[in-house]
Formats: sequence, C-alpha cells, structure tokens
Amino acid sequence: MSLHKLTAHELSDKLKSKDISCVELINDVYNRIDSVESKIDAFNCLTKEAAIKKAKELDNKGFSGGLSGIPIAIKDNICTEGTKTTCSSKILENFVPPYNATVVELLQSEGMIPIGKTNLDEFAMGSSTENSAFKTTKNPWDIQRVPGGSSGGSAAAVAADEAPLALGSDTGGSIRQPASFCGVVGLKPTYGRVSRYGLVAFASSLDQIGPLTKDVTDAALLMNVIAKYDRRDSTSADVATPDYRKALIKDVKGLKIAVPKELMGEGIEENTKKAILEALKIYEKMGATFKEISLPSLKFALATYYIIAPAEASSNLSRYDGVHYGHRSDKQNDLMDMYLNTRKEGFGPEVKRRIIIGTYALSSGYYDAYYLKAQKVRTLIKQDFDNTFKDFDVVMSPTCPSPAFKVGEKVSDPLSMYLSDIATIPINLAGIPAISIPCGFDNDLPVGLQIMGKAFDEETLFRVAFSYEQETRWDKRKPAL
Amino acid sequence: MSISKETVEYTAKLARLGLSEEEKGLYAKQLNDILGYVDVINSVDTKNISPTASTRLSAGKQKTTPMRQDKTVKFDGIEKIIGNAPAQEDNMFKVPKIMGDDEQ
Repeated sequence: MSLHKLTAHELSDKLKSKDISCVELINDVYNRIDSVESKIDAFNCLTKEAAIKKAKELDNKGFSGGLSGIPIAIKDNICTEGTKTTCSSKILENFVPPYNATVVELLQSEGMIPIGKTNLDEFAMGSSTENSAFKTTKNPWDIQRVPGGSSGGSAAAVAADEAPLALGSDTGGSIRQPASFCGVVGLKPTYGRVSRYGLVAFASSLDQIGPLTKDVTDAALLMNVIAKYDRRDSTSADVATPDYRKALIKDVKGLKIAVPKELMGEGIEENTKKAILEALKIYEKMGATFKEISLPSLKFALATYYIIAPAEASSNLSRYDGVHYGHRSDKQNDLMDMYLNTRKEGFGPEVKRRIIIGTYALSSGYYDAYYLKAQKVRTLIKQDFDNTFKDFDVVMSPTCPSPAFKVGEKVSDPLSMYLSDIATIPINLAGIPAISIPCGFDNDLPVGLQIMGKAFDEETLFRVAFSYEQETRWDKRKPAL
Repeated sequence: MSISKETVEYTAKLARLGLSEEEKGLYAKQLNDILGYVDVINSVDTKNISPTASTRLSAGKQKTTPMRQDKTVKFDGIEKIIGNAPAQEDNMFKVPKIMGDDEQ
C-alpha cells in the first residue's frame, strides 16, 4: 500500500481503525525516502531506528486519533535532544542539543514520530536552500529548480511524499514561500502563538514555528498540537488555543477580502497574477466579495526587514564564538584570534553578509538612521494592516512574485533573492498570521495564494483556506517523481 | 553614502568576524547595493511615530508579558552541555589565553 501518498488525517483514521500498523507506516515512509531522496536532498539526517522503536511502542498501546503515530519531519534549526541540530551550518555541524524545543516535546506527548531533520538555508537565511553548507534541496516539481527557503527541506519532503507533514520556521516567508514553490500548505502563525523555545534564533521579533502540510486539515491538526502557551518563551502569549478542527467549514458567504495593489503590481509575474485573480473569482462565486485597496507602507517593508532582521541576527549569532559549542578554529593564538577565525571558517557567505549589515546598522552613528527608523516604519506597516482589518476579514495576495526559480539563478545577486520574499515579509513585521495554499499552476509549477488574517485569528484563515481547497482540490495534484 | 573596504573591515572586527581580502571587497560592493536599496525608508515621514521593537504586546489579546514564579529548576545534564564544548577541563569551558602577546 502506498501509505506515503496519504495525508496525516487519512493516516490517523487508518491507524485508529487498525487498518494499518504504525510500524508498517514508518517502514513505508522510509522506503519512499530511500527511493526519492537522492533526487530531492530534503534531509540532513534520518532517525529511523528511534522512529521504528517508537512505532512499536505505539502499536502496542493503540491509537486514539489526533496525530498520534504520525511521522513528521523537523527543520534542522529546531532543537532535538540527542539528535544533531545543525542549522545547515558548518559552525553547528556537530551540535547535539542537550534539550528538546517545546514544539518537539509537544509532538512527542501527542505520540507523533520524528523521522529526520530537514535541510535549510544556513541559519534560515535565504529563499532557496542554496545557502545550506551541506546541500541544495531540489523542487519535486522540477529538480532543476529550488524548493524555496529557508524551510525548503521541509516543503520538498512533504511535496515528495517523504513525510506526511513537517515543521518549519518563518522569519520573512521561510514557511510560506517554500510551501508556495512546492505546492503544499504552509502557515506562519501569529507571533507569540507557538513557542520559540528551542528554535535556534535568527531574528527574535520575527521568528515563528509553523506547519507545512499536504492539506489545510493537516495544518489545523498540527496547530492543535503545537499552539500552546510556554512559560519558557517570554514572548509566548498566554491565550486559549481553540480547537482548529472546528474552523474547517466550507463557508465564505459574506467574507470581505482586501487585495493590496502593492502586491499585485510591478514585479509580480503575469501568470501568477492571473492565478490569484482566478482564485478571487472562485471566492466571489462562493459568496465572498473582494476589493482592491492600497497599503502604501508595503513599498517599504522589504527595506525595513533588511535592517531589522540582520540587526537582530548579528546580535543573536554573536553566541557562536567557539567556546560553548560548535566549531572552533585551529588557528587560535589568543582569544581574539579564536573568535575571528572560528567565525570566518564556520559561517557561510550569506550569514556573514547579514552579520555585517546588522552590525553596521546597529553601530554608533547609524543606529538612529537605520535601526530606529526601520522600527518606526514597522509601526506604520502594522497600522496599515490594523486599519485594513477594521473593514475586511482577510487580505489576499500571491505568496511569491513568481513560481520556483532555477538553481543558481539568483545566487550571485542577493538583492534579487531578497525580492522573492516581497509579499511574505510584511506579515512578519506586522506579527499577524498568514497561510499559503496551492492555487494553480504556471507551466506545471505550483502557484501559492497567501491569505493574511488578524492577530490570533488563525481560525478564519483555516476556514477561508479550507473553503477554497474543497472547491478546487489543487492539493490532489502530485509531482511526477 | 558609500561603504569602503575599510568600513567593512572595521564592522567585521566589531562582529568578531574574520574576512579574507576578497570577501572585504565583495561585501563592500554588495553592502553598497543593499544599503542603497534600504535607504528608501528615509523618505518615509515618521514624525510622531513610535518604534515597534516587537508586535507581541501590541498585536495580541494579551497586553502584558505573562509573569511566572522566579523558581530554580535543576538541570541534570551538565555532561550533555559540556560534551558540546570544543575544549573542556573539569566541567569547565577551556579557551586560549586571553591577552595577546603585545598586550601583556
């Protein structure tokens, strides 16, 4: 039986009814990985032995539903006790975390089974996985193309049926952009909804962990597991988590959709625009209305992000100094030498670039002009969204300006790589949730629709995304591998 | 504003980041491109606008940071922590000498 093709909720039903055993499921998933991984390169490491052991335990106990017994891939910047967590960086190549991230603890108490750690752009900085120190993951729809990034390994693993679902992290689009490129569902939750404890920090005011899944139902089920208040993350919000399954209703009658013209104009490819307009017409047919609006501050979002994110990163990454963990240079005459050489050898080009930008923006004399100014523009971006949600229920746009680009196409031009996140970045700055769902194809490459909602209103996103998915069933189309 | 190779060198030193000569030249050029792009924010009128460092308290249902008991929790895994250190001795992190030869 080709179990790997099924969604997590379909598998959960089969486990519960004893149609299949968990060991059978885990074996099928690893067989699938064996047959396609050499083409995709989604994983940094696999944890087969532990997974099979866990599956046997669960088979003896039985399954009560939820996501118990479901295998999951975990982005390699989320700490897993006893299993290497590398951030696809040389500097953490041999790092074995002494503790689990809160989300990993939550997966385990649900009875989910981690199957391996997925590739990413080094320290989640990038949009293609080409910045990984180890390998470039390929897009299952066309292996000449990138899967997006930075959670490209997680997105590709799900799209290639190597895992029914995965965890990613999103600082400026790192869940949604690869979800869009790989034709899967990706949610960036509200800032504070999911604990960041154990997520290796990139830009702490923007980072958020979230699900990458084959359909909207699976994303809701995974959020039911990971969205919990955590006292170990001081930015975790102590608010009740609803049962997201209850939001999975096909009903958008009277829904008011705003479409910012800033995300539908210059720089967005024609075929992508066409796919979004067709999606909007489907919503209209189902009883929703949409209106073009203007969010003038969005023009400045990318610039704002490329000050704030590197500034926070330069501070967060100062901990990689060759003392407590990670790589240490052999060239170490004295302490200063050790710092300089350890970081020179351990970090890749994009990480170095961002450390320099961030350090520069925070340095004496430039702090007000760059960092403080960017934080003020951030306020304006947030206000633009707040005002929009007074009159509208959701905002929609393409997730990315174009479908997946070719491996190597943007590597030498950082600015053009940054531009592929133009529609996803404003959401992290505003702290609101957004989901990317498949909404069609451009020359056999998936196009993603981004749906943005009010802070802590993931339920509306799930209902709106689910309605469209049930109407169109783009999720049923699979890459030929 | 133009970023020179010397500025890159100085900034990298602040960040304790060693760079090759080639990298210094490359980053100077790329930094000019990137800073040239981000400079557009200086055209935005932000008079009377307060900065947002985090959206956590302004975007949430909960307007304060949750407080918890200031209680010690014992961590039984010193060897797991120390085991990750590139150099160690007696459960301590070992580093090279702190003073350079010319600073003594």
